[in-house]
Amino acid sequence: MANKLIVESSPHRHKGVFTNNIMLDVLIALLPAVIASAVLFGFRALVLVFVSAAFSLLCEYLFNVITKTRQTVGDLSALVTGVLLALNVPAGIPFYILLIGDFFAIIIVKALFGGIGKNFANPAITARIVLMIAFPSAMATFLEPFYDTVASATPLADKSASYMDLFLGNVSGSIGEVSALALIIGGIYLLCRKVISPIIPLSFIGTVALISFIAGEDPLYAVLSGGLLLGAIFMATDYVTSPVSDRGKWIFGIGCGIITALIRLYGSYPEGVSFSILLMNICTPLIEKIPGRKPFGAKEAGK
Amino acid sequence: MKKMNSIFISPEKQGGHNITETISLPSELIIPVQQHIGAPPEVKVAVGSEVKKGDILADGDAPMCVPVHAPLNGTVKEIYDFVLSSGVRTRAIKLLVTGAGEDNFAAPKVESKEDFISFVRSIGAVGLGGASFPTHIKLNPQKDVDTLIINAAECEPRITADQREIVENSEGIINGIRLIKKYTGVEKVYIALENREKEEIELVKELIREEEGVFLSLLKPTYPQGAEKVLIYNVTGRIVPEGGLPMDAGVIVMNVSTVGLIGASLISGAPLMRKRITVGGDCLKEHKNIFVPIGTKIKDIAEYFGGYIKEPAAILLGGPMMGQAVYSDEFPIMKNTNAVLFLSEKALGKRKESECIRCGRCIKACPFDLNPVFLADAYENRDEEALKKEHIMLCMECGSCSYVCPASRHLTQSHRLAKTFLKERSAKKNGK
Ligand code: SF4
Ligand code: SF4
Repeated sequence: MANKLIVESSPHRHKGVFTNNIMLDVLIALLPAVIASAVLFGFRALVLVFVSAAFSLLCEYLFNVITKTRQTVGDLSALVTGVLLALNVPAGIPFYILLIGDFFAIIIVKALFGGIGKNFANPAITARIVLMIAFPSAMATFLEPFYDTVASATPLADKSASYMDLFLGNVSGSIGEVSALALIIGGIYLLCRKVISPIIPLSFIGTVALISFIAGEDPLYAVLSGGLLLGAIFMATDYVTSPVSDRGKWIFGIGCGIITALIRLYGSYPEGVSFSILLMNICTPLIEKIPGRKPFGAKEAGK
Repeated sequence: MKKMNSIFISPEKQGGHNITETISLPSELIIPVQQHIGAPPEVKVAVGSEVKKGDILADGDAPMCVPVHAPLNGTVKEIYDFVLSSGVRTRAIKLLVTGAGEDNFAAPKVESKEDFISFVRSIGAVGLGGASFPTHIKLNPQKDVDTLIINAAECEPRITADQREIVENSEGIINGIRLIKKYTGVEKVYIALENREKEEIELVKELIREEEGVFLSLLKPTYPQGAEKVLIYNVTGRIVPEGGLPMDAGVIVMNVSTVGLIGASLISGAPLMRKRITVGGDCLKEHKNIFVPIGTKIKDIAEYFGGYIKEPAAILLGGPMMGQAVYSDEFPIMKNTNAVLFLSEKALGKRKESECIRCGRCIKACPFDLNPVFLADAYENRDEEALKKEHIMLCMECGSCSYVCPASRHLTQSHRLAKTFLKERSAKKNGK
């Protein structure tokens, strides 16, 4: 025997699914929404997605190089953030605003907190909110699909679209949030691949529907319009910023739903999805304190 | 009933269904004298002694002691200090093999429970599935037990030795069951098998048709189905309390090969001298079961298989999930070895640790509902309180959490260290 044998602690095998595989699955799941955005808002939407993804990756790469930390672009999480942020902006947004958003998401929200796994808030959500506050008009100037004209208001605000238009995405809004069909396809893919658990999307969407119904609104309209599906399927389910336990996930999802519905009904912003997710991100460490399932055979603690 | 978490590992059991072959006579054996959990035995031979197959090499008077027998004829060449792969220090006997030896043992007389227990001890029986707990202690529980579970649910991928035991030693197994039932007073016997082992299921059904109180328990082929506490829960619904033994739940769990050994030895009188092991891995041409004398060096096994087709990066005693990696191929096969795997770097599939992404997969994988990521963080901070509060001592080191972790965190390893850390701390406290 020439070589030295590796003597490591068991197990000596791995399932073979690593962080980058999971992120790749999320990117695949976002593909229908990206395609839909290109169909609805034209080539510019596609360019927005690619530029945002590439710039996010570059930010992370440079940060790692400059700070001499382990290169983490390989985990693909920066790509996911870049794509998600692009899907959260209107089609006509100036490029520099989107790039500022990417920089903010990757460097301020993620890298400065210690990189993947350490950030307490979802980078794409936080960046979107910052852009909404810093560039209110650019972030609220939505285009009509298929036409390059500026829409008067999103369907969430004026409640004019038909179910079919909402379902397919023939309404104004951020480029990735309008097509319910594309988002649901992506969501089903993530569920089948066991990348996400259904708890957060279902409890989030269900709560919004229920409260809208009680308040006398059309629940189906509430679910299909605005950024609810995009937020509930792709952003509230971010591992890092949502609870790990099933119990915690229920609380998180219902909390997001309540806040979203309340902002939509009573707030001055027509849309509450981003704020609700950010608020619940902040609550996550608290939610995690709630004990999970009792271990098998465990005696009471401290005895 | 609350379902226990489990994971699915693709079985890769290609091969390993052959009739067990016997390895060609090795020229030298290395026999560590402590091959059980418990009191160390004394060496009963001296350098230069001639021993015959079946002679006692080491034994002791302590209750938790089990003798070790000479597997072949030979001359004691050396007696020296030896460290087991578990880290335990013991003595080892190097035996120069002079011949295969004869099998002329007298069948024992077993007429009472005392006879039975001392017979089980005399043949050197220990838990053959890996635990190596002295069988004569297990069969003499200090609490009321009503159920015997025979573990034939090998959940480690690639290991088929127990399946071959059922096919090749069914007589011995049923004999063993009858004996154990008679002398321990258990009312119910369950033979636990994975539901995909069709051939073995038919065999066992046939075998127990006439037996009263013996049942077949079919389990899902998930991991870690064959772990003691998991098995007890899935077969009987009972939970072994923290820090307790199976007998605290009224159960005895025995590996099918141990039962087979007892049953066969009652007729032949032969002590435990050889082991059926599954040999495989991508560094060998074949994947099959062979009989080897206890003490056979791993090197001789590789040679019997025609040498390595790839240089192994790791050699495991046991399966990929819970097996122990050894330092060299000079290491011997012991009573509790059930497999030797020769794995290349690629088959190990290891990656560097990266940041935890808080995906929760480890929690969903833990059979006991522990929180592996929390425990690992608590150990990093040497947080004794948190480790205790989250029940680290329940961890059976099954490896499921590390297996699924997308960040390749060495969770199981951290838990193992944490348990040692707690034990040392409490030993220190008690010492003062
Ligand atoms: S190694 Fe321990 S913590 Fe990890 S899954 Fe197994 S029992 Fe649970
Ligand atoms: S499986 Fe790994 S990455 Fe996921 S929560 Fe557990 S330790 Fe973190």
